Amino acid sequence: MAGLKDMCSADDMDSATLLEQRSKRILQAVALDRPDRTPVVLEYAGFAARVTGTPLPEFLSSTTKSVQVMIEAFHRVGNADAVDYGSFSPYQLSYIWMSKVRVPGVDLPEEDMYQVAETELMTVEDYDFLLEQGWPSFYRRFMAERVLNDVPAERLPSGQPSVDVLSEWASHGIPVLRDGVVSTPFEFLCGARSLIGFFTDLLTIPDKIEEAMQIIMPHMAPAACRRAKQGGFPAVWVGGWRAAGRLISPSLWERFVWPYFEQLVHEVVDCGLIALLHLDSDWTRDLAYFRALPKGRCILSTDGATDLLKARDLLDGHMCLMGDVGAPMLAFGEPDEVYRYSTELVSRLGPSGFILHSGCDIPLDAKLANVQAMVSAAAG
Amino acid sequence: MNTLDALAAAIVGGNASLAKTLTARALAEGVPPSRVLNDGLVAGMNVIGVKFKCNEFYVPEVLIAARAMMSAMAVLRPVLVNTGIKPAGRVVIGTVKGDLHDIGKNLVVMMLEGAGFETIDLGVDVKPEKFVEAIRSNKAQVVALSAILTTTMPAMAETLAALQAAGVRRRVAVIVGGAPVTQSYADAIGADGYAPDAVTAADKVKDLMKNAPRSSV
Repeated sequence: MAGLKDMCSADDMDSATLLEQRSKRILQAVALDRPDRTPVVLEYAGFAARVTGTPLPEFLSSTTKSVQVMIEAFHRVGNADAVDYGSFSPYQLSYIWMSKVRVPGVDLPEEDMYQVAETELMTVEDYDFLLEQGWPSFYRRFMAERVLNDVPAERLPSGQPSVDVLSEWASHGIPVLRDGVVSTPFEFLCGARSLIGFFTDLLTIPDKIEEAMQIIMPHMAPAACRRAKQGGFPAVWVGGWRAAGRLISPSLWERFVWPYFEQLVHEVVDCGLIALLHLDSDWTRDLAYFRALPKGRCILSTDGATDLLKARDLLDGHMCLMGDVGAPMLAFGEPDEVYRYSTELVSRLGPSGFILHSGCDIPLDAKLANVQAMVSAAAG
Repeated sequence: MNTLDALAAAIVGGNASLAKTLTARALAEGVPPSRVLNDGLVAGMNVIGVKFKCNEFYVPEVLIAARAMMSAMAVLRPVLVNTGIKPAGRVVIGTVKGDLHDIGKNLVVMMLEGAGFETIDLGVDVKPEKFVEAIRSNKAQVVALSAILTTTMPAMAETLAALQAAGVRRRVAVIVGGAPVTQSYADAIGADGYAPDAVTAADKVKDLMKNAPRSSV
């Protein structure tokens, strides 16, 4: 971390003032007010390791290390306003996908990317166990026996010293948007059954799926909201990836996705938190439904697949949008191209209710100059 | 409704047990196996493709249709083998080196088999030389490459380079796909085709076979 102070853009301003200024900018955007300029938020994990020259296995070895490296990466980029999340463990993915994760230096060559290894860990018969045992018991056993059974406890975030993530970042004047993740029962079951198995279930045993979802639903939001509140984070992710309208019919979506998604958002907002709707894949078809969500309390964060211009048309004056400089552009594009695209986003979607952001994570192989070009489109 | 029309309808409706029964019935009625395949199973899957493209069907409907198709093929395949009927083409498919994702690739396999192609599925994390070897040993006309990460997309270009170096590139059409892959990326690395989804992939492979027929390796 030597030299970090020198790189810190807080040189001319103390961290507390910078933190307040940046936080205000973001909260104004969320509340659909007009900030002094369009805020820009970074979301990354592996990119931090690469851009700081940290070997991936070292970056992934502990939550503490991930925080240090991510903060250093933030300063390398410069001039952004906040990060989406402030620490990383690849095993966090296991908890929301109910799937094994393959990790460089452990299961993969050191230079490879960590990846979810999606297989059918949950069988059709397991729905009956879930209904009998209830979600907390089923989930606990499933994770211990089938997902994390080959992961030493000390590699899991729960087996490591706790870190005050928010304070670490705050000491550098950087706000962190969210800590917890909630998602619909659809996403959990889809990860555990794998997409092919679960999508088949939707048509072959729909009533059982619905019964399972209703058993699961009460357990989705409370813990994540409690954790975010205790940690002082302003937002909670409400995630969706396989539940996108691009993949399933309107009738399935209306039955198995939207009622649960809508309820989760209300639960998060009712706790006094911002619902950060992290949506992968294409949700364009169903954007009109999002008008039913609380005004000025959500961020629609998309990955480049959803039509953000259509989202602006449908949700203008109702919901803050965040996006969507896509991973391929950040990895393979040139700074001029990234700057042009980002500037167009700012001019067409700002100045109120818009946050400039990558589409999902900044990829590990993103060029630093491209990320800086994205930031400069908003921050100058 | 004759048996083949009923079979096609069973595929479209994703009724696996009925598709199996009707396949056996058609064969028992003396319908040539090639007609059972083309006018029953493939005809049903063609309807699925059309409905998918006009947003009437989505991935779950495609999946249960493919499952019905595979169930029927379990009855039909031994008969096809005995009669020496050749597949529509032979496609080597895999997720490129360093990438462990296989959902999209598996969907493509289902759609290709539904269109009457024989697939040689090499799985995930497939090294370029393994693609070369499979193309050679199976006399494939098409190779399909999948990547889901920007970090593994360059392995598509490496695979194309390996095909070139091994002298098989001109004899095989290359199609690429995966969430971050685009037409412009496919063009940049010199692939012959790009598909954003499994149904389009099957169509594209048909076009590649039709428009640029490849000789056996």
